[in-house]
Amino acid sequence: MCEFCKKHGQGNRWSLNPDNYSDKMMEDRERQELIEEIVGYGIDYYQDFSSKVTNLAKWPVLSTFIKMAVKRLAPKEHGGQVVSLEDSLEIVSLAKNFVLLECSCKKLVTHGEELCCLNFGPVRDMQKSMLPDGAMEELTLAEAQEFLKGKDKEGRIHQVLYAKVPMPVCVCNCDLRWCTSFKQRFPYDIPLAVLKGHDVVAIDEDMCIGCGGDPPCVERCGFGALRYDESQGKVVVDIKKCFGCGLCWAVCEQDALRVVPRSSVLEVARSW
Amino acid sequence: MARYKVSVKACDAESCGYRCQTLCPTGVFLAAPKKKLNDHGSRPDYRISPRFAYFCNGCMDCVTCCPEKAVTVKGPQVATESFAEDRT
Repeated sequence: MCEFCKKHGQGNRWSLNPDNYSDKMMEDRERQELIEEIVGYGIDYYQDFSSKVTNLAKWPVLSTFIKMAVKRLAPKEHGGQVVSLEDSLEIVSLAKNFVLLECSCKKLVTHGEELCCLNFGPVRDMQKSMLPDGAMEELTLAEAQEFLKGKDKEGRIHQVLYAKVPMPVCVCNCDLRWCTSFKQRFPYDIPLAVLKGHDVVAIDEDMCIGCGGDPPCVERCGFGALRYDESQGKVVVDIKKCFGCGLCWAVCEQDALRVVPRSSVLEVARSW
Repeated sequence: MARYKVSVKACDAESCGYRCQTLCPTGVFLAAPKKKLNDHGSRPDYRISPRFAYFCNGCMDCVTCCPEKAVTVKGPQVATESFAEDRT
């Protein structure tokens, strides 16, 4: 269980705790203002600012303070965690008022437009009132779930984002080329930009056949956690790199890849 | 530890259609707003910032495609095939 689960999960994964989806969560004034600011002023300003701050971690001594500041401030604002398709489907079953919005990262980094950020809860009505002409598409629960499955097939990484922990506001379907959460995490190792997921992959060596030396699971892994080992003729995993996105186990036709809770693998049980 | 230093001079990204951003395979460039809005309208003024230069792989497509020659990339020479050919 990650730090958010300990405080806000009540025995469950924080993003799967139904209490965190209740309307009461919006009674928090700070949360209300945060969402209004992001929806109204635009997340581009937010991303510009936060990526400037995280880049400061390239300086030796300053990096310690930047990381401390992110650790303290990020949970009060906007950050995320990788989730598998299975968890994403459960997340949306707990939420309501689904609306697809443009992925701001894709727009800001590649100038591309795509409605791949699945928002829910208070966002829909705020978006309608503050930016009525903005690109958006309302979905039913069934449509939202089909949408997530489709994005999973395409190889997108699902990320649940909060507006002040522990209220989830969206499941974004990210591409590592443009997702600014990962771009803030990786260069100077800032975990709270986007936390690793609650699951990791486990390989059943007896079932893995290596798929002729070109296994699709290896190709799907955006984190480089899977590697084809020629001497064994099988796929091996560097579990420290695994974010638990689930793109690999979804594509294995040999049933060789299994999902296990991160907490069950000692080496990475506390690696977020 | 970033291998490449990318810099972008002030440019008119709107007129070229944000070419460097569209072509960059690793997503180095961020369109940073020039000012914070006070009203909830659209924001046309962005400057191109190489915010994620850490991810640069030295393909040099951004340097080649810029009509104003506003982008420079310094770093180890890498012989890679141009990613520009993959884009429509």
